[in-house]
Amino acid sequence: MKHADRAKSLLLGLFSLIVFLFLWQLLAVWMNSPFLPGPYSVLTAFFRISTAGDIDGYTLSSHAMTSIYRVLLGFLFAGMTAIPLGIFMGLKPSVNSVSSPIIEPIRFIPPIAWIPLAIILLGGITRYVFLIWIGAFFPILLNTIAGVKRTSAVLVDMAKTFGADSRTITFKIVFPSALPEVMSGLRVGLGVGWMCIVAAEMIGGDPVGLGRLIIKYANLYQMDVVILGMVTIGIIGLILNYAILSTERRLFKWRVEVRA
Amino acid sequence: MGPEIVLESVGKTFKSGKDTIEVIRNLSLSVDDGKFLCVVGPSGCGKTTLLKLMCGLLQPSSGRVLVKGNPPDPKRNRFGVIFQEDSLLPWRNVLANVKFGLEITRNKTDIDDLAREFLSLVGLKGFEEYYPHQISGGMKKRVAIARAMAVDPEIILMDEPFADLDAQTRQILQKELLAVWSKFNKTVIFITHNVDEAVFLAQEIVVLTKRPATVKAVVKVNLEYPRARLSPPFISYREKILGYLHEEITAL
Repeated sequence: MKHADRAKSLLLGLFSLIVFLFLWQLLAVWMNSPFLPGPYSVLTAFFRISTAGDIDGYTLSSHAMTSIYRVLLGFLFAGMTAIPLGIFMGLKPSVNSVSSPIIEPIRFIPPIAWIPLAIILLGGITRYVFLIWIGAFFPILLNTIAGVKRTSAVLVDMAKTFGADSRTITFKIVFPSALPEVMSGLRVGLGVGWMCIVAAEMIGGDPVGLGRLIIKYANLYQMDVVILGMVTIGIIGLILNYAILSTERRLFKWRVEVRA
Repeated sequence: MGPEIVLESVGKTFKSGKDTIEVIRNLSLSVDDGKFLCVVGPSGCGKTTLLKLMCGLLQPSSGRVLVKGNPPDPKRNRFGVIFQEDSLLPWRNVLANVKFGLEITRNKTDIDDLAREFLSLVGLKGFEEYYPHQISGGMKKRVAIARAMAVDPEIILMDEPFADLDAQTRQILQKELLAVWSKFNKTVIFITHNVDEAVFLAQEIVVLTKRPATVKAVVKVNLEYPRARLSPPFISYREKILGYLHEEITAL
């Protein structure tokens, strides 16, 4: 029963994808413009860039790998800073009230606004890592704080009656109970970081990266490669999101909601 | 054997905004080693606060709480506390939940066998790998009891542990609790608002007044275990306690 449902929804999804590609191709044929290539031209561009590389010789996979590497590095730093800070801020309301006047306004500066500063002050990989960090940091931080605050008082009391010290309570009660929120923070953070990298690469100097690929071919008015870059970004974002989601499902078997 | 727990004119107030709420006033009590004591009182009278004072989760505002002659300290005393609410860790399976207390109180080597032993004691052999969301409310309470008993507590404190269960499960767990108690002979403080439960379980029943709570009466229950709920002495004990409670409730 469950399997049949899944197969059915998969089939339905595939069908709507085919319809979408068909309509897109139809639109391209009807407009007959070099600036709106259809899916077929994008597919040929895919094979061309994947094998022969772009005008500078970089293949699609090296563009993608470079972008993924930058994002994962920045994401790693964001997790390493935001999770401990979030636990600390969630546990100590006094820390929260000291730090929120600084953090709250910064949170509303879009990562893209940091790009000029990053370009001037930082160089090489640090520039990208910084921008990803800015983008991924706040979703992770805020979710971690929320998760920590939601820790059940009964569980903390229970641990105390066994003589648990605050270290044990933090690591064995607070952190595991906040983990679902931390993970959804990581998922959102990775998504935001992935979107920032593309913007950063468009402006940053390196000739490699998916954002750079788009800009290079936009300047040449070769929209098939531009769309190829866009589609690649979308698909990789989807895969990254799915990777975290499936980790969540595996980790949180104990949560009834996630299994649905 | 001296008294295990002594409360000397204990008072407890809480601040709530501008108001101070007096929950316990001038409450004195002593519990002997190995006794099964039930505390009953009108709902909202501060029974849970009393329990938290006894295990050191709260400090008295006035008076003294002594466990074996010293203020209670869970790092030194070993308490086995069973909460009214579900207190299992939802991310741990049943076996790992029973091991939680042992991880804190013991070195890590022998805890697996101990945890399994106490699980089978409460009749949950075979459920080691289940997660809390997969078992019933009564089974969760059994896991909590196994977790508390496994650390070999000096004192067992239970806060309306069976209140959320259906009547049948409640009666079964009451019998099992008595069996476990007579086997290990620990001091038990059992808080309940259920008079029937108190007369069934306790050697001694402490009746509290309405808030601010103090001791209204102490009733010794001189009945052999296992007790028959329909026997005339059982019913007369029940009537007596209910009478005390009724005075408190109508005095509201």
